[in-house]
Amino acid sequence: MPGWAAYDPAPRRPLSRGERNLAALFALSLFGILCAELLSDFEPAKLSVFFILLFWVPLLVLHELGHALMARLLGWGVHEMVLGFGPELLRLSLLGTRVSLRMVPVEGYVVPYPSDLRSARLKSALIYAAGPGAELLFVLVLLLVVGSDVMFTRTGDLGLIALQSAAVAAMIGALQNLVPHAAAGGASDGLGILMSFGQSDVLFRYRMQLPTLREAERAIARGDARAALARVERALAQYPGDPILGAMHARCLAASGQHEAALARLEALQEGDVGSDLAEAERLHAAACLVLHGAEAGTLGEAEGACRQALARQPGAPDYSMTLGEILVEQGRFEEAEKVLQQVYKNTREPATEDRCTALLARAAHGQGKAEDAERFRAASARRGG
Amino acid sequence: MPGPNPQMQAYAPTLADGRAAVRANARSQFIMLTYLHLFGAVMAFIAIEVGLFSLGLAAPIAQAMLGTSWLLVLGGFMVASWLATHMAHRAESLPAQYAALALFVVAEAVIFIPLLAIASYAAPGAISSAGWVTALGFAGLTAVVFTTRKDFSFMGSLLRWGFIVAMVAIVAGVIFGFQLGTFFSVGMVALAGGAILYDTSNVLHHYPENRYVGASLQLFASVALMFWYVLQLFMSRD
Repeated sequence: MPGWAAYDPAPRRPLSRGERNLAALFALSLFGILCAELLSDFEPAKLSVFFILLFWVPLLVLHELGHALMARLLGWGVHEMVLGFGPELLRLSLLGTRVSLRMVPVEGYVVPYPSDLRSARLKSALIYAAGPGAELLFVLVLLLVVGSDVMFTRTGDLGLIALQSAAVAAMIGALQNLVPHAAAGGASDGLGILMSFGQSDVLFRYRMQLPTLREAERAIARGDARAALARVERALAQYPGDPILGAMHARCLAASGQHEAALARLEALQEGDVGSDLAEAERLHAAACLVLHGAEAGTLGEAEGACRQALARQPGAPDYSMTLGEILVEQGRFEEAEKVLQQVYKNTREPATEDRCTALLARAAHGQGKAEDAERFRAASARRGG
Repeated sequence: MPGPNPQMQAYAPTLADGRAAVRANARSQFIMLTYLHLFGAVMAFIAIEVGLFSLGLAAPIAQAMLGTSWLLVLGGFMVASWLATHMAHRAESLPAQYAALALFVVAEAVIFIPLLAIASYAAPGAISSAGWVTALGFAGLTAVVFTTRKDFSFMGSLLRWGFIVAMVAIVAGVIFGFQLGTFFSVGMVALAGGAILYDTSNVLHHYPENRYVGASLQLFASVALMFWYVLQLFMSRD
């Protein structure tokens, strides 16, 4: 198999109608060829290919449930469980967890958060391990129920082939997740287990506030600054001195039009000891957002400086990169903006992030005179309601 | 005094024109280097195979590889190719990039040994025929990209998923004990063709100009894949 898929130098662009048709035709042809292959010289074992692909979706659910149940078992919360990528088909709230089902259910993630810092590293590692663990447990149960001698027998019995295929799919899923590697949009479970032991208390403290920060961010994005403010103020009542919540509070105040209060909040943060690089990065990012959205009378150059400093402290943070991209677009530096925004757009599966990226990339492409690209991004943004 | 001639003004070189010319020049240089390296990789691959076969080393290697689980061989090849690709695309130093390309060529040469050994024994003439068909296919697909200048990067995720499904079929075939036949080879040739379109389009439009070693590795990987399945098709015919 070629190693070509490991590196993709091309920017990510929404597909044009012609490209979509061509891709669909190519995919259908390949599917037809696969069917012809399985039907020619037919033998039941060949159906294992379909069974493995078919079992992938329920096993994905099992994998993510493994993470979520382990998190609950260890006393952590689960803010979100996402199954698949692409446009959201269904969203529901289950025991306080936001569950989102998306168009292509072949990969997923959960967002767990600690309720305190006790044994946080070990718990984090166990939560990472629980996803592949659930799949391995499923294989073990199959072996015990069906019997290992039967499971390893080559057979023409369709039911048994289906069970064997389920076991193979679970093994592939578990092993692929346990190999430590950087996956699109994050770390594999194997890498997550290793990284858990090296994470600082600051990061776990940040993760404790993750539900508040994500909900506030979403509320700001949909223009409901009051809801964002209320959410952050509720959290601040519980953790009054938290500098990361403080930075988000300043952003919410600015988004709801309380510019002076926002500036006062930011200044208070600047005077106090922010405590960590992460908190300082959040403060700098909030300062950039305030300038960008007209709350502070600074220049875009100053906002850019603050954002770059935030990125120097937290390299690759998608929120900071998007803000930097927006600043560059506002400055008319479209080529640079496109580069920064593409970094985020290529690595995200998050619809909210994709929405903001497509809207900004449309402006960046338009500014460079790339009419076709601008139209693609504009159309994608409109389709998403951006 | 006569005013400036508008026609002369239209032809006067501007700073933007100068920048565009420099960029076009750098791109041409990059494309030339990429294809030179691809040619070098193909020649090295042929030299390794000729060397192994003429020294009599190919047969014992093929026997050893066929005697072990094909999943292990495939797994080893995938690890080697992942390492090589990762290094070729991310290493800053040129020697490291060349080492990656060399590692990949050697890995391809080794995994081809059993197939070439069987082909040379069971279907004499199939190897050169498959080589010519692959070369023609590659030239045709390259011509499509260079003449239309169409950006085929949109095929990236489709090809990625196509290769994953193909890998599932290969693994299932080994585990469940069935042979993948002619239609599968046809599908893989189509996938390899898609990969050549995608890689060539990236060479033309997207690769950074200092990454010609990595670009040639990608092209070589796709060409080798096409050769593998074209050869399988010739062997199944004979």
